[in-house]
Amino acid sequence: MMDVLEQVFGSGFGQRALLAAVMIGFLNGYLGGYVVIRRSALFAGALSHTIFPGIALGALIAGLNPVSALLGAGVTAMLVGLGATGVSASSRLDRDSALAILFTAAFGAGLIILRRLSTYVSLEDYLFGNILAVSNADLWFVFAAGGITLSILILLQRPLLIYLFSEVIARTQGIPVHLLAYLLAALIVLTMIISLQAVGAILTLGLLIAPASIMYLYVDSPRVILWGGGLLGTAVSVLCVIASYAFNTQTGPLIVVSLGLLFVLAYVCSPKYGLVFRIFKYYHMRQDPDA
Amino acid sequence: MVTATHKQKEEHCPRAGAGTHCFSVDNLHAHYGGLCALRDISFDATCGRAIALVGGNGAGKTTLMKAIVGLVPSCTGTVRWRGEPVHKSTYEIAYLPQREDLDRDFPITVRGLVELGRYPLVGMLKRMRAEDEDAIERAMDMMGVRELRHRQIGALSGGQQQRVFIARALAQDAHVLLLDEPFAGLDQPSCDILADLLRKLAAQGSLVIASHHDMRTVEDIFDEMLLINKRMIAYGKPTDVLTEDNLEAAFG
Repeated sequence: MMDVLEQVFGSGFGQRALLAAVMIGFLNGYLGGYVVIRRSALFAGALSHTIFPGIALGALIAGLNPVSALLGAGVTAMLVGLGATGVSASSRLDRDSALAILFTAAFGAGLIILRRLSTYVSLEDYLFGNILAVSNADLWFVFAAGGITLSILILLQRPLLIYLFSEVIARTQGIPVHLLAYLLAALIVLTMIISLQAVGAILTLGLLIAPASIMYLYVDSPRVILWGGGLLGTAVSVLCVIASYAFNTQTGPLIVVSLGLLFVLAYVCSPKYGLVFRIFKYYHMRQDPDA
Repeated sequence: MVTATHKQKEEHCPRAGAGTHCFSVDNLHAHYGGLCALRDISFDATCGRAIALVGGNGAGKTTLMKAIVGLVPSCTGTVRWRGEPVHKSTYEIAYLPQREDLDRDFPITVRGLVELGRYPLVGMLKRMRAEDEDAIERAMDMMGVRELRHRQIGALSGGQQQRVFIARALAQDAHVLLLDEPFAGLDQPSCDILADLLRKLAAQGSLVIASHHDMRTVEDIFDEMLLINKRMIAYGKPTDVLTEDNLEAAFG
């Protein structure tokens, strides 16, 4: 065990991977709190499916590199997100249906483009992540973009919470709710792009949604869900970097599998909202209705 | 979110001596996609009164309240509060949507929710000042939910939730409370408690405007009554408004 730690902490790529895991884990866990409280995981899921075709599109036009991936993913996510909102506002179809059509169409287009590209192997890193391959430049990007995103989210915590509780009340208080909604969507896309290195385009949704969902099953305070989600995201990501090194497995899948197991644990064992506790309470109440 | 000038408010509108602040709606019209939802609504009111907003389904009660707080873009007419036209949001006028339109499983405690009402006055990052803490505590005391402060709002009864939601509006220093169907879905004891609290709010200087259905209790709870059916039918004391002709015009 000491050997593994020495190798991870002692090597350049190990250190970079750990640093990236700290930022990416926290950012996803914190932002995920807003997504979970808002119950818009489905929307985030749709956005996450636009990242891969975006990267493929960017690669087709300008070759596969971080800038083309960023721009491509940003453009497709915006087209699908805004397109679905526009369609639902101007037709009788609801937003979720429009979203489902648009993101699957985009994903299909991405697969068609993928066949045309000869860079399948290096694209795999974008799809499933490879945090041990983080370069110095990648790390700068992760910290700069992640730092900006987190600062905005922390700065806007109060108006965001009012907006999440009730859009109508937020509007009566002069909070620009439409702006906040678009900003939140844009930050979700940016966060997914930042997270590509760690978990890839396909699994990024898990890292976004799971930590806050686990916290949601334990606590009742939005602030604890946000910050706790961030800390949980960081802890799991860092431990999984080390574990993936020790057991020679891919980091991204290990992170989302670990989060999945922690979620099941919370679902069953949470002292307040867990299955065991609720069953216990149910039988207790049946036996002794006055208690 | 801007920090309102809250000191100024304290000087100009002391709650204790209220009753003199005027609220008026003048010639309000509202449209939804070419359809006229409301027209010719005009009435005056003062702080310290409770007004029932009465009308059938689709009479425009919710539209009227939303129009007053600026949530209906295509409406004309003037709403004045303390002599000034209300152009945009003001914390002194609060609209509370119907309980079923609010997220009752929002993961927050009673105290946390009431605190949300205070945020616009405190600003985005500043710490809560002593006076903010006081306002939150006062709001919870006023609505009798202080002992529930650590409870999750989802675990409360309908009546308790409604009181917590009103406390949130009080914490934002609202003097005019527009309540959309506050009694909907409440059992009789909860209705009685809420009715007493609305009376108490008015007595302490708030202007309470609430949509209401139960004709038997209008007189007991409210000082005035505004009867509408897409237009204004009558406004005045409930005994004067509740005539057969008016009711026929509103519900017939």
